[in-house]
Amino acid sequence: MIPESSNLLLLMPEFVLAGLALVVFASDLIIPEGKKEWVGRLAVMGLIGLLCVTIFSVMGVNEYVYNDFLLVDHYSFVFKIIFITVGILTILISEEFVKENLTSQGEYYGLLLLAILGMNMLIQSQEFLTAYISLELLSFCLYVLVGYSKFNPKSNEAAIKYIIFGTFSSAIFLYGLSMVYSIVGSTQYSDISGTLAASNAMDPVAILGIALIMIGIGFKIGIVPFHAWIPDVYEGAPTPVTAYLAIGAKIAAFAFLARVVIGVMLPAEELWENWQMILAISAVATMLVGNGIAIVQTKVKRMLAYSSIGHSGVLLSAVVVMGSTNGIVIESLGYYLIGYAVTSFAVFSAITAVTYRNGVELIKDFAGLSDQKPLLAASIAIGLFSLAGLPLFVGFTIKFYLFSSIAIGGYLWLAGIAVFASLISLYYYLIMIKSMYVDTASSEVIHNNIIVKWPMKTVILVSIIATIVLGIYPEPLVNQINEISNLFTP
Amino acid sequence: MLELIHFNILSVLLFSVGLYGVLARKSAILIIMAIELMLNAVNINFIAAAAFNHGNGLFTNFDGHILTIFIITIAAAEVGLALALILRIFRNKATVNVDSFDIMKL
Amino acid sequence: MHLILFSIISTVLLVCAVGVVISRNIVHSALFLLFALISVAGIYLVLLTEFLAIVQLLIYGGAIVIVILFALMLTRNEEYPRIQNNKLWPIAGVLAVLVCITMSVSYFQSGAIQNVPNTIAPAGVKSLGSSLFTTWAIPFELASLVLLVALIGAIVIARSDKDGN
Repeated sequence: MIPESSNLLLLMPEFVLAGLALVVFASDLIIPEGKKEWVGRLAVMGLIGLLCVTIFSVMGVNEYVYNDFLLVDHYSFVFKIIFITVGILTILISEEFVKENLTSQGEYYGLLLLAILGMNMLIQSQEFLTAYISLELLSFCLYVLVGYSKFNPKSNEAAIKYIIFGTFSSAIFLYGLSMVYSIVGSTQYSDISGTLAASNAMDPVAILGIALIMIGIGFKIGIVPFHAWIPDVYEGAPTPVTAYLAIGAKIAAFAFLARVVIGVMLPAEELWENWQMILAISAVATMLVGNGIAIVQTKVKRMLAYSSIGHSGVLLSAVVVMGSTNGIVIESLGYYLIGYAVTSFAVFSAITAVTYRNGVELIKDFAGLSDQKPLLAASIAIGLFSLAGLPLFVGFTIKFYLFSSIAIGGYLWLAGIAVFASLISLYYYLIMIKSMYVDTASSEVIHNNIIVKWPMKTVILVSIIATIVLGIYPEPLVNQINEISNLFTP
Repeated sequence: MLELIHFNILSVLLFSVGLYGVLARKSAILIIMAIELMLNAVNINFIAAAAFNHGNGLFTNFDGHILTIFIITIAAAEVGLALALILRIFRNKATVNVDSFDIMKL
Repeated sequence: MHLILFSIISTVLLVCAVGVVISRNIVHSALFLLFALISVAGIYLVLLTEFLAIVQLLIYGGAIVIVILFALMLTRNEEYPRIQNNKLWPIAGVLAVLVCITMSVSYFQSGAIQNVPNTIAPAGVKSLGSSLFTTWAIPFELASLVLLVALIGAIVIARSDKDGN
């Protein structure tokens, strides 16, 4: 029964990460109150070590592990590196916020680490139960983190909404899985796609099952019409957790969706052709609804939440064109996710710095930031310009790559709508930038008491530099991602 | 004679009742109860498929039963976490009305 | 014989399930839920898997319903006997009926479901145990971490400290 071909050493990064999380939880017992930032610093040091472990143990590997449940390949390697890096940056920007606003500070960092573990397992699983459990591990950590500011009613409400929507979507996903299982008899991607591709007349139960699975995943990602929870959750969550939701969780969800599409849907060509249309419509709706509603928002985090829905739409349209031009789409999708992460960190780190002490929420409260805290204002401005896709920044390059690959895939109209949605986004990003640079500060909000400590400053500087450098000179990153696309090019 | 489809239909009915409960109820605790019904529908479906199909094609080793064990585990953990949150909300608001945080619907 | 048993249990199950979602009194709902979950255990017995029936009784009947009742007790209020439904409940009803019809039709149309032999294979504890700890060991380990997170999360959130300790 024990599979012979399971080289468990390939799971070294996950074992180390689980151990690290337990060490961090334990260190919380030893480190005295008031010095809890050292728990976070321990976690950061551990994660840096983990980066080395990951690079040495699984780089260049392409192997199935443990009954073919997990696939350790270059795709999962690249995403593991991204997740760990996002984790490090999130912990660094959390430090001051956690110290000032939250109780039970030590556990915060341990939960973040376990969330990374959930993401890692999620993208390398080749079997739906493993993927589901990993997704739940990630979601459980996020439920707790969203509700971490536990004396803040908004955070409570965000958490309970998130947990109810999350459980509901899990139930739908599982029902779909049970329908597929009752036809196929297995939950492995390869078996499911094999059965779907083999049968000429598609079984209606299998079709409905796949539909329910996709609805479940759609809920988790937050694409229209399943996006209702995103604005409330993003607004209520503590700001660094919002950043983590918008960056880490979103990347993980899309990496998972792409994996499912490649593993389950693409081999069954007829099925996939129908789904391409459905997903394309959903992508258009997501882009227009997200960017359209973002215009009228007055709160910064809500505006960013809708903007993040808009970005989901763009990413979904890249998923739509998977198939014939697989390699180039995966390449541009991966590049987009990295560029999006870097850019979003420029925005979210600065917003965390602004909000950690004063608790400002409204866009107009950011007036005068450019005079009082020029670095923070510059960081937000550069990040927003890049998100809107202006040249010189990484946002332009990633959008250029992605839109052209969508157009090459035969969906020129979808690329056109994506460009139009980017133009809308430029409008509301400019409102925010105008508030920071042009409007005069109101007397009641003062930003002078903000202290930007070195961990935060590091993240801000790194993300600004990366936003600009990757925008001007993207070759090294593109080469690295080329490796992934080679895997999927027949 | 009992057939697989009997169990499938039972599970569909249970799932729909749960779905109605999730969409129609306002109180968080009631929504969680309805979600439990949906998860039980999933479990019936898994076990029935595994039990009837045993030894038939890819159906080996009662995988459906194993999946059910995992789903029950996760569901229990989820309920624990959700109720902890509800208690926290109840204490913060110093109100006796769990309904006052209207979960937005549809 | 089996069919009669199945019919009785599933009728009880569906009646209790409907009771959960339409009862105006939340405590009644919780009790209906308890009976629904016990009847699900009965369904598992019909499917010849006594281990899962016991697990169902212990975890759902013994743990989940009790936790829900505890939560009700700790948050008790006068309004519980009169719970309002969402205003959109007719739409929810229509949606549920549509989902029910679509899925039932798909089951009746499915060739694969119709061709299944009418024998129920008993699932012994031994075979379940050995496949749980060999084939499914990785998800099993992950599930342990999920439980750890739920434990820590519940404590962190419910603990009533104002000053961080």
